[in-house]
Amino acid sequence: MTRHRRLLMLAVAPLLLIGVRVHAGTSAALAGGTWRGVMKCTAFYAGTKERYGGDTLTVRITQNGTHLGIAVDYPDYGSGAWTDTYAAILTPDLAKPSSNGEVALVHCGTNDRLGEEGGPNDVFDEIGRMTIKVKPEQVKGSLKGFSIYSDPFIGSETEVGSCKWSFKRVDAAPPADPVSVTCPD
Amino acid sequence: MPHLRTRLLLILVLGMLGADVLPARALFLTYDLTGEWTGKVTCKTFAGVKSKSTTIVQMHVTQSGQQIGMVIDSPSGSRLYAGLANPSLKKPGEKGEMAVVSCGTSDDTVSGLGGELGRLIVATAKPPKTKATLKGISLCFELPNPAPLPQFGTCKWSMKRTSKVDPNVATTCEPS
Repeated sequence: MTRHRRLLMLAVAPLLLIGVRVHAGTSAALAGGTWRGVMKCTAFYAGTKERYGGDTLTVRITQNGTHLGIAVDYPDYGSGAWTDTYAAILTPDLAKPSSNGEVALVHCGTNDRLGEEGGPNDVFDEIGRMTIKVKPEQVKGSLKGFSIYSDPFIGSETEVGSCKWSFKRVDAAPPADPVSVTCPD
Repeated sequence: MPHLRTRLLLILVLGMLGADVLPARALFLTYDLTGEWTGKVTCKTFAGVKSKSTTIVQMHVTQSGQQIGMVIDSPSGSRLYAGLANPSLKKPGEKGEMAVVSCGTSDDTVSGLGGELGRLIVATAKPPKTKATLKGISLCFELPNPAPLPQFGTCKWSMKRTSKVDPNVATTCEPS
């Protein structure tokens, strides 16, 4: 895979001058704002398959260049409302850098130790890949993609799952309560 | 009958004691993926433009309880992974799923190298048979340094076990 990626980079090299400018400049798609939509998930929990999700959720995105901070707000299902936070990177589509791109997101606390219970990293690990399309200088935008997660439990409560994300932007103004574009140490 | 009752009572008491005294991992029944594997990984990637590649790989797997260590060899080099077994409730010794993460994965999108996380479906033949398959999807992102453009990927894994010889791979990633 790595070799292929190197070859890809070589193939992309003629475009890098454009790409670097896009990456560092202001012409990357503006993803910031408030988004609403659903997340539908399938999981393998305690040895059986499960489906869940489908409720309308709010996603807040703060953007700094190509770095994004993403907060997903969940309603109160009985034990209180909560928010999941992610750090993310936006890579513009070189053909339509101001409107299209892809986003890789990683849940804060994700590391290479699966099933880690207790301590500061007692959170699930999750990585996602989304496509983003926005209308420049308009509110309209869509964020769609897929994520995979692993919960921080071992034994009979082990869980691995995946979620489909589908969100539309409802407000392009930066969130009043900014989301950090980096995860805490 | 009294003897049988005593034995059943003893098993019950030991079982209750075991639940408290023995580590959960020791009592946990799961499939065993240890051995040598071969297969392919097909990736759809994006680094400003889309691309697709298929790589034939060799995979070396060692499993200890729920912890699974994997080394994937491809023409471009070796990658280390850690996995967590998630056995089926109905056939824990043969089927289930697993999570897999590439060593070095982190939530640091500024100075980190990226990461990869996958969800795989496991099917093994009844022991002691070698036959086993591992299929699923992983998501990855690479943050090259110095950066041209970050690269995102979605990879489909399809592997078959060819031998049950233990390659003695570390079952957890080394602390970074």
